[in-house]
Amino acid sequence: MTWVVWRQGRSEAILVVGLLGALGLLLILTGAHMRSVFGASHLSPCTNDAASPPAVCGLLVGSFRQRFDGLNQLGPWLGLIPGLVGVLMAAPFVLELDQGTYRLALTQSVTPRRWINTRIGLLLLGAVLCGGLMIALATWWRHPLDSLGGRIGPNEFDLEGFVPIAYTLFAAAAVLAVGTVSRRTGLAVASGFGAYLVARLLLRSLRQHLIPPLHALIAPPKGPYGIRHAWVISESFTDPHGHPVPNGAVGRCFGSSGDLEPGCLARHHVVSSFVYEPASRFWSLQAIEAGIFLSLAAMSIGLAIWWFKHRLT
Amino acid sequence: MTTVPALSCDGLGKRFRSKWALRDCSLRIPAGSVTALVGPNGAGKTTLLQLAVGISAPSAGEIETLGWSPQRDPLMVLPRIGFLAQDHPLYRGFTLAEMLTFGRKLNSRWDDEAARRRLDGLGLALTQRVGKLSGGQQAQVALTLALAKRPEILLLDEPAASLDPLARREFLQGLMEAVAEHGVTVVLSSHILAELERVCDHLVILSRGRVALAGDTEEIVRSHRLLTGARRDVDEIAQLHSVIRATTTERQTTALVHANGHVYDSHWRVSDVDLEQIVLAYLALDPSPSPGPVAVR
Repeated sequence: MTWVVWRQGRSEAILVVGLLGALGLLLILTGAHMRSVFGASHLSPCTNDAASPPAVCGLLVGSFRQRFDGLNQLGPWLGLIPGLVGVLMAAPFVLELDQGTYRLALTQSVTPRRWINTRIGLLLLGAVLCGGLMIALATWWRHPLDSLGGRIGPNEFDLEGFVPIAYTLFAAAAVLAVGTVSRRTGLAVASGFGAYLVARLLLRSLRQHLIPPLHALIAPPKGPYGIRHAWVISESFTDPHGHPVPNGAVGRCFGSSGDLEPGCLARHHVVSSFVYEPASRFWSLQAIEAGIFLSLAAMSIGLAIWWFKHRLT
Repeated sequence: MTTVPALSCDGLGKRFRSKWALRDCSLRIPAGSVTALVGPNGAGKTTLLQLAVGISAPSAGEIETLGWSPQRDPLMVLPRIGFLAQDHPLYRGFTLAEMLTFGRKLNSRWDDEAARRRLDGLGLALTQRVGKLSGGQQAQVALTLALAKRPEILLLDEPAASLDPLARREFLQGLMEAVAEHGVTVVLSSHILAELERVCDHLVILSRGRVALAGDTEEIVRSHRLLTGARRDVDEIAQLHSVIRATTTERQTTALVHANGHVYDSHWRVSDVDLEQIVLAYLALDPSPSPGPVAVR
């Protein structure tokens, strides 16, 4: 039966391998380059583990991050890949219903229960493996950037940890559910991917509310060391009680170089106010978000199996 | 000695939402017979066949294939049946060799040797892709796969509907050769009767989800009579025999009856009817009051 599932999904499997291969090539080439620049830039004392980074780090980190800002911005685009992979992996199942070949498959000597369990089991296994591979690639690739800036920010959070596995499973399950009910491949693929995009965008905008963010008021000369590697949601100038300051108060403090002068801000009682999620919440946020996507996936698969048992057979 | 019927159903019904596709269906199809399932589109032929192979579950009643419920005991049914779904679905991207591997992997009793020989006899090479074959060739491949399971019963849903007349004849010929060789029970559905008359010995007529008539074809022909006479009421004759259809013109009345024994009535001229006429009469019948004989003997 495994052979049949494999042979039937071969074209889609080749597409998935091609997609992941292209992704791997892109990430390994750019990642290797990023690593060699990292090594040559004397950045090792500036990483997350360093207790008190030297003052020069600010400049070094800034220039490194600016240099690789383009790659950093790839994050949201790479976030489409789990969706594509999940959709592609679920498509052969829908195609079997759409083209009516399930009537052939279900009248061999394999019971419907074993047939659907094997198909969905292999699909889930494939989705987990592909999700895991994406995580390994992205985590290796982003390591230089993450070691300087943490990995809870929106450009990297959804490429690492274990959420990509949950995303892949969700996309596959959505296609499965729509496909089993409608028996239309085009509709299932389009609405499955649509559901994936909507859910991902929704969760991206809701993520900061999953655990209420922290607030910090920090006097400018010290800089935001306390929230290093955090995901800074917003940053503004306020008075020491957190109230907004009048517009002019900050404007007066631009020095001749165009930079803000910390001494001037201190004289006018202006501090930086941060709203942020600390780096320590990475795994809690991962667990919540993965939990949401996995529950949605489980419900979709449940619907698909129920429909298959009660409506299709 | 009692033999298990190849197919039997009792009060069988299948409902899709609020509409009954098949209702109050009770019949026995004996082992070794070749049975035609006849009826217009939407009569419930596909539904009955799908229930028989277990890819559909009954909403009411019972169905047994080879003595077992296809839903409750699929492993007692699936390995022993061959099924050709409507439009004989196959994996279009597979080569014929891969189609055979498919069958080998999913069936414990699988006669690869016979399947290869049959494809060879059809002039088909194992390297050919299913999608590139003609409709007739695809139907033959589907039949080959069904036969390679060494089935005790072969169920075919409109196997010839999409084929041109020549391919249809070749297909039925291939089917009959296989029947002669293996003695397999065959149930095939069709809305075209003419070609089935030659190959079938039993007949089930479905009309609007109900069984209108079922039985041995010869017996059906023998028991139906066409009565012609001067214009008159059919009530009198209806007391003795069931009138299937009566037409009255200005001068003459014609009645097709399911005769209860011989028809002795000097008012009527009694003549034989052929199977096609009988089928057409039953199909024109409004089936709402459940009609009489349904047991195939």
